[in-house]
Amino acid sequence: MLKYLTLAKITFEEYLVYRLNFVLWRFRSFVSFLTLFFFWLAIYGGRSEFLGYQKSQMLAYIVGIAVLRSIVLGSRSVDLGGQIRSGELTKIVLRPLGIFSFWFSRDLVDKLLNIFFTFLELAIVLAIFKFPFWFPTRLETYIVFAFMVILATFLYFFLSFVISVLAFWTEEIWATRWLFGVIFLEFFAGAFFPVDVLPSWLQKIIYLTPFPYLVFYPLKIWLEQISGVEALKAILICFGWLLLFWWLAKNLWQKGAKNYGAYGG
Amino acid sequence: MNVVEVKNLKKYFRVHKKEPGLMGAVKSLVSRRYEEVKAVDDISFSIEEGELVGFIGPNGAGKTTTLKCLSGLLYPTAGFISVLGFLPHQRKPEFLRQISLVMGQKNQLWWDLPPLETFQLNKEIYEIPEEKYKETLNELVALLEVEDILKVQVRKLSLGQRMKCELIAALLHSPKVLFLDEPTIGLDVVMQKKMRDFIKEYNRRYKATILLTSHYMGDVKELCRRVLIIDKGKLVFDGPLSQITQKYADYKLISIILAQEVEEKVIKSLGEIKEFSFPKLVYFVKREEVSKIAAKVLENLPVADLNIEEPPIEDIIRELFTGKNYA
Amino acid sequence: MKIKNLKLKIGQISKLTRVWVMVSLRAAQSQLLTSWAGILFLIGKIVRFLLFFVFLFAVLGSAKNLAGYNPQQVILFFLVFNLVDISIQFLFRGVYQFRPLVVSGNYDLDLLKPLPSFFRPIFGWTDILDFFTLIPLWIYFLWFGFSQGIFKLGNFFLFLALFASSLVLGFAFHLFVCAVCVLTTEIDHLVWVYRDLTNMARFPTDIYQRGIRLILTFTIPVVILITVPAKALMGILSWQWVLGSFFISGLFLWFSLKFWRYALSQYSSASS
Repeated sequence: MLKYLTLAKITFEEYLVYRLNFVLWRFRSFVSFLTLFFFWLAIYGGRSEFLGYQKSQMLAYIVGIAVLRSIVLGSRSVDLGGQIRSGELTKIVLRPLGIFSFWFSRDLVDKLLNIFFTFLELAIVLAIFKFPFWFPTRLETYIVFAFMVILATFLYFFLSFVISVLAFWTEEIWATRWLFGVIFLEFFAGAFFPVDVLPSWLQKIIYLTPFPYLVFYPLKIWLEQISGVEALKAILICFGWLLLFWWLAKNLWQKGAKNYGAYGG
Repeated sequence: MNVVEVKNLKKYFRVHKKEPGLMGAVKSLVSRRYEEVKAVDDISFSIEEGELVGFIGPNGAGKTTTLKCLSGLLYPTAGFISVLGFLPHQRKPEFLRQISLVMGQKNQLWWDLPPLETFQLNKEIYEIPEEKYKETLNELVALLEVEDILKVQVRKLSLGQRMKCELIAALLHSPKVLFLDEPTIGLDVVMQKKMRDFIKEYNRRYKATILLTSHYMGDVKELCRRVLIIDKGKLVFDGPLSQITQKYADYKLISIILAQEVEEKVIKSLGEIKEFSFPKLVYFVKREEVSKIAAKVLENLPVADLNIEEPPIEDIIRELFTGKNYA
Repeated sequence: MKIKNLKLKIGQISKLTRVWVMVSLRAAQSQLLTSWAGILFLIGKIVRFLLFFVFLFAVLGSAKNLAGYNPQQVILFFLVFNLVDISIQFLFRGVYQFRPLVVSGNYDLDLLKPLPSFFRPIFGWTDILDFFTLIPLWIYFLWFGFSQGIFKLGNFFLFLALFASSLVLGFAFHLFVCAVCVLTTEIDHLVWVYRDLTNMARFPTDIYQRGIRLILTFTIPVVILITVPAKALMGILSWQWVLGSFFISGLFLWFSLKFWRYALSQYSSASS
């Protein structure tokens, strides 16, 4: 346990050193939140309902994106790809920490820091704009929501891990991560806008991927826009994807790490 | 006609000192301590057309800084520089078209493409007419023996082959003044010789003025009739290579081959030993005492062979730099 | 005498254009020979564009109004955003390659070539692949505008002039980034901030609160980069804005050039 605390402390210190990095990251998150916020505010205009979402719900969705980005999507495990390519990995592989626990601990620090700041920023925006925020009415919702978020967090962890681990076999770590981790992820996960504002043919395709379970479905649960049965379905499918990516991550990692020494780092 | 004129050149750098650790980093945000480094401290010299001149000195002496000031990369802190009648730091196109800088560790060749691609690009950049380009290219390629590798990706070439192609890229526009910074660094002995031969030949054939910096004595001995020694930013010597020995070494070496083993006591009593591993024995001897000591040696030791030599340039220069002269 | 000077200038510009084309071809070759990254980025950019497009169509199909603009106008804003953004990325991408050039010291060798000092930093890494996305985009844009009857010829020429002015502004900003790179080599964040703020102009900037619009006009003048040409196209731009935009572009250009010269004078190369 102590090792993980030490690891967390070191990760936190790194943030202090790369302060500028972090500040700019927060700035960028804030800017992208503002953009979407104003966009939807403008779209709604005087309306109170649009495409199945109350104004307060849509705005809650946007706020929810900001929150879930830091909880689910915040991570340092993107560094893994770089470490594999640069040969730094040998040092870490030799340390007595499980590879998953190692990265997840680092991610946790990232998530905690980001959550803290996200809430801070959101509090400021909400205080200035005073718009109606949607809260679930039933207690079960909170519980189911929390459960789904936890699942989503782990799902994202393993998904991202798989992308990073590809670094064992290709040099194109940034390009692959950008394409899958940013473009596909953000659109299909509903991290720009709710998936169900898109045409239904596109929706059907997106629901076949694991992405909507990261942000979209948890938020739908929060907004109480899907029935208990559908929520259960979502959780089960999410769990299924989680198992798949956990299995993929584990196997690919073992395969890759075994041959890694052969490179000589 | 002086191609290069340098008067009282000074180049000082302000370097900020940072203490290690987190506290150091925080402190440096608030107040920065600057140190002034006098890279070049009042140097004057002039060079005529067609000369092949070497700047030698230990690492950090200011050779590269001087070269960069001459080529126009650095603004002098004080003093006057004129190259081909231009003020280098203005980097006027007419000036840039007539000079070239080659730095041992830096490349202009596109890494993933064959050298020929970079050559054609330079042809366009320097506006070299087609026939002149072909003629120059063929001559350089023949001189450096690189016909086979022109179409091979640069990243697949050996260091020696790459250096050759870098040289070609730098010489396509037939510069009047060529600045070479550590041209033989990192090369093996064979390549070093080839490089030196090329530079000598290029200077002879095209009458280009060549200034090179090096900390390899081999470069200097082979190439430079004239040598400028720079140490700690100051010009310590400017003249023919042969003069260094005469000016700075007030000693000579007596080199002996012994016919028989001799007691060390006896050897030690005759003079200061530079080197002794039987049968070779070398003494340091002050110039005035050479004949006297030579006579003593011949009298007291079983000498098979005896030579009186000038100390090697390397030794002299090394001593110059460490401020120690045999006295 | 004047004609001789003019001929000289034209000769210089055509030489620079030739060199730029040659450099770009080599950059493209380099990319193709080394990695698929270019292709992956291209796919990603196309996917992103299409997804956003579908999203806009879907939303506007029902909303019919965004901050007072009808759907066609919103689409137009989006298209102009992409045209300006991609053109600027296409032309001035060299900035992303500049940092390693400075850090390694190889930039010294470029400084001694008879080319403008900012040639390689800015124009040295043009992405041919972006060119392939620009052509269909322009075609679609023109077809969309003319077939929907939104473009009037006079407005269109004003748009082109303001588009050129936007390119000048983009150039000025990237030159500024290069100058910062020469001074501190810490430019990644600056570029990201630029991209993020520019992305805010995907939608008509009128949707933002006044304070934000001010920031977007006078710091990184995103409004002038994108919203202004778009509005000119629709014929809803006042002449004050037109003059103001040209003026701000010119001002930024002047300032950037001065700052770049200052940075170069401070530049002491990474010595041994």
